Amino acid sequence: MAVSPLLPRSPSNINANMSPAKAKSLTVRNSSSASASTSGKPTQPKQEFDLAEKMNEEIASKYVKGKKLGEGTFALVYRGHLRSDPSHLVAIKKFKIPSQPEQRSEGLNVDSIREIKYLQELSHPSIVALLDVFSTKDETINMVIEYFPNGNLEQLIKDQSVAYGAADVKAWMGMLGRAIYFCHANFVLHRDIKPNNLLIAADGEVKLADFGLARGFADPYANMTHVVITLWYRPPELLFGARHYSGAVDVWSMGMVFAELLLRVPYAATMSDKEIAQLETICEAVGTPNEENWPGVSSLPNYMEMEKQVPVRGRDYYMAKFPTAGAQGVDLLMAMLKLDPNKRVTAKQVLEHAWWRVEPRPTDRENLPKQGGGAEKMGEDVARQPGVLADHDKFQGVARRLDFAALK
Amino acid sequence: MIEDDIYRSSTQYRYWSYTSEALASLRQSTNELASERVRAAFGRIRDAKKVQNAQQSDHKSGEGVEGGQDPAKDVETLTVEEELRVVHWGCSKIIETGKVTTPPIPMEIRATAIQFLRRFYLTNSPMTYHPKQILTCALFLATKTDHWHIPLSTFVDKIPGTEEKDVRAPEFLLMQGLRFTLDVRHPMRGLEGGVGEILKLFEEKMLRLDGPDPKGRVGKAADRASQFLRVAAQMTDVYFLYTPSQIWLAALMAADSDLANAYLASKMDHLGPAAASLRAKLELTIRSCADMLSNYKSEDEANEVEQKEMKKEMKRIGRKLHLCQNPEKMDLVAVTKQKTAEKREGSESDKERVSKKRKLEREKLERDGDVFGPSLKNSNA
Ligand SMILES: Nc1ncnc2c1ncn2[C@@H]1O[C@H](COP(=O)(O)OP(=O)(O)OP(=O)(O)O)[C@@H](O)[C@H]1O
Ligand SMILES: [Mg+2]
Repeated sequence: MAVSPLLPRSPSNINANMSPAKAKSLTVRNSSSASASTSGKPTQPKQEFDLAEKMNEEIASKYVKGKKLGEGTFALVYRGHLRSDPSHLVAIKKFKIPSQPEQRSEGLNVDSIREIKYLQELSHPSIVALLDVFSTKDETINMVIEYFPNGNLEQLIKDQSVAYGAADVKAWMGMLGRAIYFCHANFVLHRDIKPNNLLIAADGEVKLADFGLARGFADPYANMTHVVITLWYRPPELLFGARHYSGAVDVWSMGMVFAELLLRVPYAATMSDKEIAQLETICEAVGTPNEENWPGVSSLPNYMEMEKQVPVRGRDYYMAKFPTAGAQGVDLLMAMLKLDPNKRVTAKQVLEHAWWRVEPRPTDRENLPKQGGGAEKMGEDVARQPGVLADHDKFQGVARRLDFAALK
Repeated sequence: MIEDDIYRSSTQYRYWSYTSEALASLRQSTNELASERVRAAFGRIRDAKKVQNAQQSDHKSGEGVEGGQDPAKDVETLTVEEELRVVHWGCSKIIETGKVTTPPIPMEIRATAIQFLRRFYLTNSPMTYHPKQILTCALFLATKTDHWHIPLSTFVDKIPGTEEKDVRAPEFLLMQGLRFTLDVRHPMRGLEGGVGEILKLFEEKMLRLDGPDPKGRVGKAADRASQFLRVAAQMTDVYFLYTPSQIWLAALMAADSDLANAYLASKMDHLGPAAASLRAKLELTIRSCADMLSNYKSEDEANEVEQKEMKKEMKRIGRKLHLCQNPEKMDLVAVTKQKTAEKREGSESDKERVSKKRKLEREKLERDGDVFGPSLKNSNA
């Protein structure tokens, strides 16, 4: 417990820190050029730097930008590496800005602002690491993030050449669960959890990315928008237009990811972009919301009585649908997919669930399957068909024994 | 209880917390750098004029905008204290500006904007960028970072003399000065939680309160403390020097020190003698923060003589700032344009246009006379 404020701690990331000593040294460097101009030699303003500009320059020069990797709605993503160590790869996400400043009517786009805001605060092994932020002379902002050569979980789920089993699912769910718990403990809602936003790191770790829709959930004022989270992963309270909601929205999405990992197809996919269609899909997959299973639901802003009446799916239904999850896995899945957000488990309760203590043990990170077959384990090519998941327990058992043998 | 790991991982702690010595030294460096740059800029104007004068016939010499003397030699720059007064003026303008929208911008968002401004001016000087150029941008940026949506057109609608481009132009500069950290941890919510906890402890007889109306007393203390957080905490350096929980405890102590001490005792007594030195240290820290909060006097709270004195001083600083304002950074819209133009084309005609515009703006400013613009007079009235 620190009772007195300290100097800015030496940063765990590689951002240059602003100590007074540093400020001094920068001042000195700058003043020499400034005084040169007063003593007669005209100096171009371009050569002068503010302290902030100077610090920015130092950060920017740490990286070398390489070829373009991809393009999103708000950003171009490039590969890059540390100037001091070319083998240390990074991704440089450069926010797009319309060429004319007048065109950016609201200034810097809010999604970019929030992504920067939250990633700067959240440092966790299962959340993408923001290594640095710097600006370039054309007044664009560049985020330096860790490089992900292995794509995302959506690609991996879809890739029929990749086989994975229950122990792998448990490992990925553990990473996702810890990431979400960490966000919530920091009072941040992610609001866009889906396999596409779960990136696979070089070491096999799955990391939560894309914080453009995130927000703090302790803000007491103003309503929150219900139009967040990709439709298939959006919980029923948002579909009914709730303006006040909690971390339970992320837990629902996490439940949907869990189900999808097990099935290898999205569990509540709707072939329409209508919220009502999504609600019907949820009725079918989980059950029809009503006052009995969800007291208060009928007073939500966009509540409507559903035509499709399906009783809340019971344990037997889930056991039949998700046989590889086991009894405890199904129990956890059902707890994450509770219609009533007040009855849904919290991220903390997810991590405390009995499922983590039963067999199989989660696969060690370095043994997790990857796309491209690099780390595929022998014998693990049973579950190739989407929707079919083989029981890998016996292979996992073998693999674990081999691992232990290798360790000793 | 007071600190936690979550706060330690925040950028507020990692980048924006200082000892008072470190804070003073950083401001000193910023001031020195800006002063030299102001002198250099005036020097360039002088050089340019010399060339111009030499080219034109000599009967025109000495008639420039800056008068006949050597502007670089004579320019008297602001001191650190004077700079701080100017920044404080900007902070109080943010509080006022937040009131003009309908509905008004929530106090906590204005507080975020104020902290943006204060952070920005740790590495930038008002001599380089006048707060009036930055403050509307800081306020608008805070509505975006803190999820209080307002269209820019609606926002500027209510702010006289401000156009959308004036708000947009410094955004990038501001973000850079903020080192791309946009999260501000405020003490207000902590106070609410703390007051709730005090009432609960009281009901459970874990905390003793004297007086005829103990609950009323807590309510009164909470109101006063919250007032400290809304004004004094924004207008002083407490965010740089203390953690949010230290600040709200200090506000409570400034409001009702017996109550704050009783609360601290109820939280720490059970820790036993081992924690005694820790507790003493904590109390000392909170006391010094409380002193800072209660020593702050806003203009409204001052008596007539003091108010007059404050206004006179502000006027003096304003005049001085007017004379040492970096002429090259006066028009941010133009500076931004020039920067992007330099990067893209570097075309001469662009640069010429920009410098012409800059000159116009400068002349306009000189005509207006009052560096702080007319709105300061309103606020003083
Ligand atoms: N850290 C990274 N490492 C490797 N490739 C990346 C990384 N980040 C992004 N990419 C690549 O760049 C592309 C664009 O990423 P970005 O996050 O900007 O947008 P997106 O999430 O794909 O789309 P949207 O902006 O619509 O959400 C990605 O699809 C991916 O191929
Ligand atoms: Mg995305």
